[in-house]
Formats: sequence, structure tokens, C-alpha cells
Amino acid sequence: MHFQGSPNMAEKRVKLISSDNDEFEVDEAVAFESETLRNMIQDTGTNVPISIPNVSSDILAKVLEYCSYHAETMETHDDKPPITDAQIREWDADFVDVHPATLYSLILAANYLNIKNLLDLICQAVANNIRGKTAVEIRKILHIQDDFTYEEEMEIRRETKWAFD
Amino acid sequence: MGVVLRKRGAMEDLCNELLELVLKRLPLRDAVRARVVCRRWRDRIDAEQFHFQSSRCRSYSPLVFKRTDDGQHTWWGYNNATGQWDPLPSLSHVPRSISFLPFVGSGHGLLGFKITNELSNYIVGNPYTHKWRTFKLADCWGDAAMFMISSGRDEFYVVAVRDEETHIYSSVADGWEKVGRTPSSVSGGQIVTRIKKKECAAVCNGCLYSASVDGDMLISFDMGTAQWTNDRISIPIDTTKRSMQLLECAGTIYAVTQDDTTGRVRVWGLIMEIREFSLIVEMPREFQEYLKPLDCKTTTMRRAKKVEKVWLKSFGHGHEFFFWRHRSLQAVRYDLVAQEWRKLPEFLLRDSELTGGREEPQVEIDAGFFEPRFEPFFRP
Repeated sequence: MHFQGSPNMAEKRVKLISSDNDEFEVDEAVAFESETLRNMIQDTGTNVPISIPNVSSDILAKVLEYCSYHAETMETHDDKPPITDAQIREWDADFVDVHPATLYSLILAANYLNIKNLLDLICQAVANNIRGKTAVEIRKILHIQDDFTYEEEMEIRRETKWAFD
Repeated sequence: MGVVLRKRGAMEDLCNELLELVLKRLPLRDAVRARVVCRRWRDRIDAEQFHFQSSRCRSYSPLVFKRTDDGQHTWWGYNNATGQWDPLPSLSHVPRSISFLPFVGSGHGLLGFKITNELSNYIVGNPYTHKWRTFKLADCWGDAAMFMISSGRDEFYVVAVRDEETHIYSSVADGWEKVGRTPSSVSGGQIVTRIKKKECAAVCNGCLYSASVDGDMLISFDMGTAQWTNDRISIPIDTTKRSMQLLECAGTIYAVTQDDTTGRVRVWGLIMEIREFSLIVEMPREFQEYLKPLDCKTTTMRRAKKVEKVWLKSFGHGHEFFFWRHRSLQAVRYDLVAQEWRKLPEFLLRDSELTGGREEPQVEIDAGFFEPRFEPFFRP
């Protein structure tokens, strides 16, 4: 899987290796969206492939899809109108419209790679998934074990009755 | 699209710091509800509760109220921080049956309503703590318009404006005081209606502003001195005076006008130094049309068909203006700082909420705001 930068820009390319040994090649500007990669590249240069041992290739592909789009939005072209904030929001909304399990893997990846905007975006998306749901629904969706006794749960509900009406 | 599916929920893989990043993005009510999910979530939410209470100033405006045929009130607020409509705590515990919409000035953690089945009785309270107080406006037979100013710690004042007299209620003294005659330039049966409908009435810097009977003058009631002031500011705006609205935004009074024939909507700001209104912004055509009702309701009168006027409503909160049509749930906002017009996400009721009752529920956007104030939600 390769992410092409604009062809007229003679940019440095960076090789990345996922946990399952797939190789990705991206423009340096795309990799620079990640603070972690930026630091690594500044330390070791672009000649050596960078291995990312705790991000699988499907998640890394998603992350790089995000990074290349957002790197592109920063570029200015004389012949193309700039990408508007509304277009970016729409793109982001499509991007997070994935299975919850993908979102959690993306949180871990965005945190490890230190991509603040992506982390914010995904955390908000997960929060949106939780909104308006009952505790039973949340536990079911997220496979969380209920470790309260019935009495304890009733007591918590009593403490904050207004939220459970 | 590659999806990593695991037997155990990946959410459990998140460390506390990352879990908190997610939880603190929940609206307050959802966060409190999420405390029963599991012990770890409860502990993280309790650790974050300071964040929920103060670091993000929670404020909702405008509000949407819904009442079903069984008298149940439900309400939502537009959360400016997230750009979404959040559900707000149930009003089913209010110990009296209350009017549909709260009165002017509700919002700093308190809501005030008229009690519907007891003459001249009112109720004010905090929907989070369920502390409600009822009070009666004595020897009052006429209709009164109420507006409230709350000063924190559940203390409040309510001013009752009647055509002849104005009274003020203090929650500390738990009593009413007559504070003089309502000036003749504001009575004549109009001020009461205007304040009640939240048209042409706005609270700004401790004063209630309204317009004189003929719509020519801005008049004010000063909460500090508890008196109607003699201050008169002329409103030289060439528009149908009846359709003018007053609103407060960022500490300034604004007038919203609408041209009856062209539908053009303009906002005028009061420049206090020169005591004049000056044109601030005009609503772009696209947004005017978005607010335009699809079809004007026509009612067959005995003699002629009468086109029902669909009034423009407006409200100011923070540094934004909000506009919508009476009975419509489509609203737009204008950000005074960014100088930007936006549509609000459409307010949609779930199907279950629409089909629950026998009759269609009454749903309306209200010119109001609400800043939740509540006790800590866990015991220390």
C-alpha cells in the first residue's frame, strides 16, 4: 500500500514497517503528522525503514490515510481552491465511521504515534458512540464486565437520580 | 476496510489516561450515567468530575422543550462546545404542574415556571438538585410577566411586571415588595405580553430592557436599584416596530428587525457611548431561506382566509445570536467574534419519542439558556 504525494514535489520518502511486517512508503510530510515519527526521522534519517512494532498493518493504513489527507490540506496549490474546514470535517466524519474495535485500536495507535488531532477525533467519536446509551448497552457494545453488586448499582443511581430519569 | 475484532473488548486495553480522554468528552449527564458501567469507569469519572464541573463552562442555548399529552416535560440544550443537542435532566420531579416554557432570565442553574393550576403561583428551582420553591404573587388579579435574576447559590430575585405595578420577590427574604408603578410608556397591555413571549425583552448588565408602547424608545428596569429608570434611548429603525426583537449578546443590547415584504433580517447593536443603534450584520439570503417555513399555514376564518404570521425568534448567548421561526425546529446562529453564519444541527426526536403519546407532543425552541449548577455527584 503506497500513499502518493503530489508528483511535482521532489520529497523525501519514508519507509514504515507495521507489526505484521508490511512495508509502507509515504512522503516525509505525511510521516511528520506524527510527532513520534518526526522525532525518529530527525534522529535516524529517512534511509532506514522505521519499524512500528505495536501497530498492525490495517490500523497503520488507516492512520496513514488520515495523515496523508491532513498533510495535503496544509498544502497550497495555485490551480486548486484550498480545502475548506467544512470539507475537512466531512472527511473526518467519514473516517471515524468504522467498527468500534477499529476505533479503540486507532486510539492506541494515535497515542503511540503522538498524532494529537487524530487522538482528539477518535476519542470524540468513541464518546459519541457512548452518548445516550444505558449502562447495559455500553457494557454489551464494549464487552465490559459488570463488577458492581445490584445494591451498589442502585446506590449509585440514587446518588444521582436526575441523570437516570 | 480492515477491522481488528477481538474476543475481549479493546476498550479494556485502554490505560486510565486514554479512557479519561474519552470519558471527559461525554456530556455531563452521560458521564454520570456511565458511572454504573463498572468500577474502573466510576473511579475515572469521579477523578474527572472537577473537569465536568468547571473547566469547560457548560452552557446550553437555545433550549428545546417538549411536552406530551400526559404533561411530561422533556428538554434539551444546544451544547456550544460540542455542537450537539444534549438531553437535560428530567422535569418530572417538579412538584407542581408547570407551564410549558420557563420565564425570562431563567438560566444560571435555575428555572422558573408559572404553576398552571394555581392562580398567581410560581415555582423556581434547580433541576439537578430538585430543590424547588413555590411562591405566590399576592393580591394580584391581573396577568403578570415575570423575569428572574439569580445570583448563584440558589438565590434569586423575580420581578413581576403588571400593567400598573411592578413587584419584586427576593428568595432570601421570601417575600414580595412593591417597587412602584410601571411607567405609562411601557404599559398599555403590551409590556406584559412582550416579556412573557420573550420578544422585545432582554436582560443585560443587570437591567431588563424592553420597548415603549409605540416601539420608539428603549426603556429599562434596573435590578440594582429595583426601579424603572428614566433612561430613554430612541430606536430609529425603519421597520415594522411590532416585529422587532431585543436580545442580549456579549454584554450589549441588539435589536433584530425583519422587513415584512422582503423578509430581510438585520441586527442592530446599541452603541452605548453615542446611545444609538447601528447596523451590525444582515442575515445572508441562504440562511433566511433555510428559516423560511416551507408553507405558510393558512387558517380559514369566518370571513376570509388569513395567513398566519410566522414570527422570527432570536436569542443571544455568549457571543452568538440564534434565530429560528416560531414552531420550527430549524435554527441558525451567527458568531459575533468569528463573524460567521452557521446552521444548527437539526433537532430530531427519536421515533419512540414521537409515537409514545396519543397526541402529537408540543415541541418548541425556547429563547433561553441554561448553565447547570449542581452538587458534587459523589459523596467525598
